[in-house]
Amino acid sequence: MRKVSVIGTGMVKFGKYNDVSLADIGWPAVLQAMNDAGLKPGDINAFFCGTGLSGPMPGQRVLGRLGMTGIPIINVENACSSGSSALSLGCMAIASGQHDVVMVMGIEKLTKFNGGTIPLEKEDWEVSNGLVMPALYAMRARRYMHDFGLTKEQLASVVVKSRLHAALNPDAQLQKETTVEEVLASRMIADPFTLYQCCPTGDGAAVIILCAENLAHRYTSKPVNVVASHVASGLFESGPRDMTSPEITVRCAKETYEEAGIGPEDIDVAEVHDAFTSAELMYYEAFGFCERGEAAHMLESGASSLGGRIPVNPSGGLLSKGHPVAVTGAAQVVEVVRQLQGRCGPRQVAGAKVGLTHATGGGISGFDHGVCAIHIFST
Amino acid sequence: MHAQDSLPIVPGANPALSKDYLTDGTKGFALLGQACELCGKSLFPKTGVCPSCRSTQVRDSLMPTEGVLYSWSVVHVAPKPWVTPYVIGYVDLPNGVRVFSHIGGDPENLKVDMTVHLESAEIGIDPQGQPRPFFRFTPL
Repeated sequence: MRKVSVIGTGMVKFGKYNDVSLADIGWPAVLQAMNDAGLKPGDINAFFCGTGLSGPMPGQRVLGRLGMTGIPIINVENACSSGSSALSLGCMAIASGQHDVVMVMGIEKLTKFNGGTIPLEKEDWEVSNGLVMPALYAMRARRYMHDFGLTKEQLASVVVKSRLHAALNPDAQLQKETTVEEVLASRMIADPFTLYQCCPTGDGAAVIILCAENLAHRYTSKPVNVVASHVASGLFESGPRDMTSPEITVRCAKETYEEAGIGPEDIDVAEVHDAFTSAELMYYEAFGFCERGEAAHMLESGASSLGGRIPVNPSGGLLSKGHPVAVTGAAQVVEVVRQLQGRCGPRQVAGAKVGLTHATGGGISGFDHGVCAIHIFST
Repeated sequence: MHAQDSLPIVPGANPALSKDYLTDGTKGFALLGQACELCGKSLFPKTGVCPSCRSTQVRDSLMPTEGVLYSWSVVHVAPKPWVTPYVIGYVDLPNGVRVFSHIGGDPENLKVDMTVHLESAEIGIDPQGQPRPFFRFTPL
């Protein structure tokens, strides 16, 4: 199996684009990525396009605008990991030798739902009986608060850090700094989560161009290598399970570290799935960045802030950068790749050489989550 | 050639559309789940197949009417037709089943791991727009 490199990235600023169609949200990100890699349309052998909720054939709709269809296009749905699942398929297409240069996208237009909570599958037992995603995470948070003494002020502090990072990221949706008091005073969504503790809905697109590692030098002087690419699905459990430890992330992280031959101490920068405040904290533990129960202390010590031991979500994460469902996994990769290329300006993690991205989601009864996708990159 | 090979597979009813997950039989109001005859795994709601061993030899099984509140949340934003606020949570039953349920009583008085018991309640609305006879778990 060949090694894979990233040779180009492109990104649309996340936001609410009510009057812009999905195709028109996507093509500017494609052009940015192609310019980044100095590519012509004929150089791209295949396109993997992830969308969670934005309807059929997103890949064709986007590339149709640019006159770039005809090549194999595979559209991928895997909830919040749609973009990163598309990436995983793209990596395998190159590693296997099937293609040399492949484009990957995550794209979403959530404004078509006119606000409110993300619509979930009504056939699902819990959804049909009143479960919404914020409430699922809220139940995890409440149990964690009980088991480990986490306070609501500590939860709010996750948002404060997130906004500080996002203020340095022109592509982030929410860039205004905030305080613990302001976070706790925002509207209650699902107790204990107030509005600011929930990622905002919005639209966006992110593109990654992959190439066989031995061909990357033709396109860029700063290729970033894909060291590991791993997707896992959740395990159905009808009985009690510990909701303070995200089983799918713990399992997928272990498998990814093994594939990469590294451990948490080797990671210089991480973009993890902070859809809600408690999630970021539990993921510090799931990835082994700190011990179980120690996440709030890690946050308070500054270790996960820019300048700290292991900056987490320098982009502002889902909480501030935004979470157009399928885009997130791809956008995290754009951030980590640019961090490893030294292109992040005021939010640059100094000397970053190894980066990790993590997207997980898919609310289904009896699952921690439906899917988790983790990638590790290095220069 | 087995006779079975020529029979078409006709999928069973989706449990979310099925009406028989509540029962008011000789043992009183209870949730009707399934228990696997092969491996013993209990499940609610019923699916007709065992998620542990894949056997289709599953029989109706009454769920215990009392359990422990694992966690909950008061929901303030939800899609139509839900009227907020309402309280949902997970209840762990002694037969190894975790039930997603609405939770009764004053949410201010709820505590992790408290005992809660099953009662009938109108939760949500049916396709005709009428209150739906359903269930919830409530502290004593």
